[in-house]
Amino acid sequence: MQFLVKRLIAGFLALLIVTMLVFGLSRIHGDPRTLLISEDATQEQYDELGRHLGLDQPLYRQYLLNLSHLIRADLGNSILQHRPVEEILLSRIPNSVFLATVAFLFATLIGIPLGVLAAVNRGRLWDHGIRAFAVLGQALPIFWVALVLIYIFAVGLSWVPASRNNGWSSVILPAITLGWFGASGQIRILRSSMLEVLDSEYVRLARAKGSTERSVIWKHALRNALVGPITFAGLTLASLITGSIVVETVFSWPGLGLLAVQSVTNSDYPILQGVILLVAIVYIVASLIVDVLYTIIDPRIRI
Amino acid sequence: MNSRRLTMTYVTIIVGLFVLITGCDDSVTQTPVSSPPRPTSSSTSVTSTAVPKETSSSTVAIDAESKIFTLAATDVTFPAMLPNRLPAAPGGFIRRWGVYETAMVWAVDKPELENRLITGWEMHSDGLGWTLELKEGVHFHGGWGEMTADDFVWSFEDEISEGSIHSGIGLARVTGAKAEVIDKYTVSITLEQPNSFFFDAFFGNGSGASTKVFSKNRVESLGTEDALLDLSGGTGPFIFKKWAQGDEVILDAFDEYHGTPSEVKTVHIFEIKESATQIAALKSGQVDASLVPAPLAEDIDKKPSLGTRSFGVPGSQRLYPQGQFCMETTLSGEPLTPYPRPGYDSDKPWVGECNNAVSQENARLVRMAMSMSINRQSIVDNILGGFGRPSYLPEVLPPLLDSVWQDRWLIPYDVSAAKKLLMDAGYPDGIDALMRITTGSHPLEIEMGQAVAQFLGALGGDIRVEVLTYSGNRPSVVARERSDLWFRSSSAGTGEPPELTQLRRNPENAFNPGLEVREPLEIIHQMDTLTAKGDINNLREKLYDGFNHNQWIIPIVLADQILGINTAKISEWKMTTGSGYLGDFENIRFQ
Amino acid sequence: MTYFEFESKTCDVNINSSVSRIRQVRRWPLFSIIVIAVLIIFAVFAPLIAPHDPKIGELEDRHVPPLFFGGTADHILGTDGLGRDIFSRVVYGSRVTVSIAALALGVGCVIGTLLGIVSGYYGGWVDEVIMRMVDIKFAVPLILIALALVVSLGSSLGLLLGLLVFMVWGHFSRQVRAEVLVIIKTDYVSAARLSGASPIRIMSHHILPGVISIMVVVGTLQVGAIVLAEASLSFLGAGVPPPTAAWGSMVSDGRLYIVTAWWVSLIPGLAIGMLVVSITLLGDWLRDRLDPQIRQVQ
Repeated sequence: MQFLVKRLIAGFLALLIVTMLVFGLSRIHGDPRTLLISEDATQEQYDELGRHLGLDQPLYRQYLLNLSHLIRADLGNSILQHRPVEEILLSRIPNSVFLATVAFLFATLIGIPLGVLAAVNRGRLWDHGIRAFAVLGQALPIFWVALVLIYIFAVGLSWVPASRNNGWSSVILPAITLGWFGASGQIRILRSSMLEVLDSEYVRLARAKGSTERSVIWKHALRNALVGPITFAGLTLASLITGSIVVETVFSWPGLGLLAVQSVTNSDYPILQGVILLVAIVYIVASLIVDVLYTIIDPRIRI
Repeated sequence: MNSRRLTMTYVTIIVGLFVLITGCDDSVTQTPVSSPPRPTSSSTSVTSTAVPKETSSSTVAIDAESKIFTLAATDVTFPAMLPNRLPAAPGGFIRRWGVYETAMVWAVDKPELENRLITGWEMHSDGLGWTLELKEGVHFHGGWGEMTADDFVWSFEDEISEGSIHSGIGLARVTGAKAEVIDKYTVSITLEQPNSFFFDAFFGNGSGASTKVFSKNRVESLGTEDALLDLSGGTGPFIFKKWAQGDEVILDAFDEYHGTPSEVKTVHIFEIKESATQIAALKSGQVDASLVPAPLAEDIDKKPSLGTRSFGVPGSQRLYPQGQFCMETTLSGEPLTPYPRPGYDSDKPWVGECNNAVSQENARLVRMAMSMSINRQSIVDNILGGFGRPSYLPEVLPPLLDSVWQDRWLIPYDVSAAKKLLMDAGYPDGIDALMRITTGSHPLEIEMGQAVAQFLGALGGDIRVEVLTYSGNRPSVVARERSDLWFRSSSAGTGEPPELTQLRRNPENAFNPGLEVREPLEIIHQMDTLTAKGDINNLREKLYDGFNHNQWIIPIVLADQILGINTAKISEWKMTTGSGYLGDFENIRFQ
Repeated sequence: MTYFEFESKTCDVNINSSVSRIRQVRRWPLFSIIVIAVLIIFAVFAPLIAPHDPKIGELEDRHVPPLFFGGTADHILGTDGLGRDIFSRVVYGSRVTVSIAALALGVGCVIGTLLGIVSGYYGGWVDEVIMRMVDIKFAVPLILIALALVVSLGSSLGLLLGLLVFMVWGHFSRQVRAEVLVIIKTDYVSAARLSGASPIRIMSHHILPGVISIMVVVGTLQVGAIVLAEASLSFLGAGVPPPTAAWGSMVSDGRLYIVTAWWVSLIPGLAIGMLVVSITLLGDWLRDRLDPQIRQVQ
């Protein structure tokens, strides 16, 4: 319990510092209006925006003004769309969640069995093939992989749409692109863990007892080996978040990643701020969950 | 792990991928079918009634039977739906998507204005205004009633009101324009001083200043805040059904349209930012039309169901040598503040000291040298694949360009002569510079900009390049703080006289390409006061002589816009003259 | 406690299995060594190896295909959109890649290791503060911050390096700290403490040698991340500014021509792939070699 409280406080602190960071970013080049105003603005509008941002006040007061809004879950209005940022974020979240979930499932549901397969077939063709797949997944630039997949499967073979969210058929390519990195990690970790466990006394005992090879692998070995991958699943989230920005841009997938990029292109700073904060919250919460999951999975761990 | 085996597996996968990719080129299988001819027809470039609700993306089937037309765009930025909030760019596609209309429109096959929302007009006897007869029976989308003179006048006044960011305010203020309701269907516009640009700019649809008629009733009923987001209140053949910012726009054909109804019943406009994906969407049939970067036109043509053609007014690519800030006062004598401008740096080779004639002449030589060191034709041939032409006058586009052109404005590609000029100017070793390339306006801008930098490098100095990927607009605002080179591109032109838009806008307006030079502004000011076309053209020639001699702005090339279109589905798409944005969907005919 | 602390704890539990785990010490990872050697040769001898200037090309030679695909011997791997020789750019690009990776890694490693050691050694609130900083570093999405910074500062090499350093230091801190926690409990260190050695001496003489191996492992694994991050950042506009040849930006620049001039993106992409694969294999091999007790590190 104490652990939880400590982690919660730590999480809040982290979030606070992220807000400072984000505020700092908008002020880094001096006048933030250069980030916020459009080409055709008149001098009067320039001044008006300055008043609105409280630019005549000292920096810390501007930050506190900013913070007071954030605490009230008021992320401000999108400069371009004249709508609350929260609304815009909410409209994009389902798309990102959809993509991230499928990508995560791909990473885990493909990664784990492949990892087992590789471990079990150690040294043989399957092992090499799977390891090559895993290594490649962490060695090729994501946007390039995405485009190649689009040209092969959408343009060349016409199996799936080339871009955008049109339901299940269109989530396949982006999910594979996004999840490949995570799948690779899972494969490598699981293979490694499995190899160790398969050698262990515990498994040797199970074999000696006469359990079938299959049950040895899937029941005894895997359960022990799973700890690593489960934790890695938490880390996969980070790769999903980073990867989604590029993947969503290439596939024109209307999620938070693309929103962030668009907000930068349109100099719609409040939205960018909102996305950064949201992502930070998600990550902090996720790590908290992973840590908690730990204590449940393995009571040996004392915090 | 056996690394040899790993290598083999790795190699196999790469080879396999490679075979798949290059095998993807479906031109191999079919003999090329002749694509539709490429007329140099001018035309332009890219979302209904009430219900401004923004829903999340929906699935839509593309089906020729149901007359749906799909278009890929790089940007569906949501503009604020009020006249005074429409600057040039978003307003551009707004006026082309057939939602909001103007008094007159440029015809399809000839560079003439024809009536749209008016039935006729007359110039006042003193030459200081016009009377417009509005069309009767024009209904607004969303049930906001019939269009009357009240709406027209309201739209006009709102557009030039205090705090407006509409592109028309500059010209309206200079001319002291006023609008008045005469009777239910008659409007009178009066000017304090004559101006021959005014009519085309405000009553045509080819200019950023064009007056689009909005429903006054709508804004008064909803209030300004809600009206900003409301998608109704236009008069055109299409209604906004949905606008999901950064995602897609859906237009439905308007049943009660006052003119010829459209054959296309629904238009989907998808935002696909990544050019490579946009092309993939076109090739895979996900969209019916898209702009195509010139180098890929040939590849698109190879596919039998696709065709390409040039259209619209080409975009102008130019290099601004920034820092030329020698104007102390505005034309009317008001001192400019801050002055000297923060970006003023007399050490920059192309800037020079303000009151020193020798220094100014040297700076001119430097700019001319830079201009002469750029092989414009090579850029056109190699990067644009021939779809374009060298540009020698900044931002002057066809059709105006062809009607005023004089051969003496040609700038030769001559590196040794350029180097000699540099030597005369005091830079025997060439010049060092930082070139900024701003992106977001043309898929080939980085390539063109880098090519220019490469050419400039041949003069002997070191040209550093900085790509501002997301700052397309911002440098303009702070440009008076810069004194480097700025390569700026546009994918579409507007065909309206550049004096109206670019050259007039500083120093009174926030837009500033990084130069404030008195001479051209004075000529433009004079042009404003004249009415006779002959006199205006004389001054124009003088203006362009000035630009040519001084190279205040270094023009690079004009890049054609190329449209890639699903010819298996679309048989015809005539676009009206004048602007660069994809639109005029009501002219689309299916096979 | 985090995953990595957990890792070091379970090390003790698995002593039995690790004994049986000393599987055949692998032969040298030939592939990796060859690739890395070639890379280093390219980087060092670039002016001698590259046939053309990597930054300047002839626009007339735009998009010439590689030698056996319709090209000429003058440009064996073809040319890019400005007529620059791709082989030369790959060769010179290795310099950029190596220097960026080395710099980012070097700085990140130093900062991260220092913080990790201090954090593990002192424990208490120092540990808390530093580990919270690490948490924040992981919570902040690097790419978004990169975008925001590029918007205000413009893209530059310095910015890129800063971003990459920011990306890696946290990994070092976490791993090093986990190691330090184990090392501290050893008699070796306890004795040193009892004998009154100063903390600095203990950290530099007793702890630091013990964490070197994990530093190396983390380092090799982060190289791949750095190289790929450069590619992604270039795609988003925050990478190495032109006309400098850098593999990531080369892949990004050529992406519009992925079908028509596929070599512009593919070749530097292959270079990146080979490098990262080699480094990964090397890292795995090193990990097994240096300390069989180190579990799978991410």
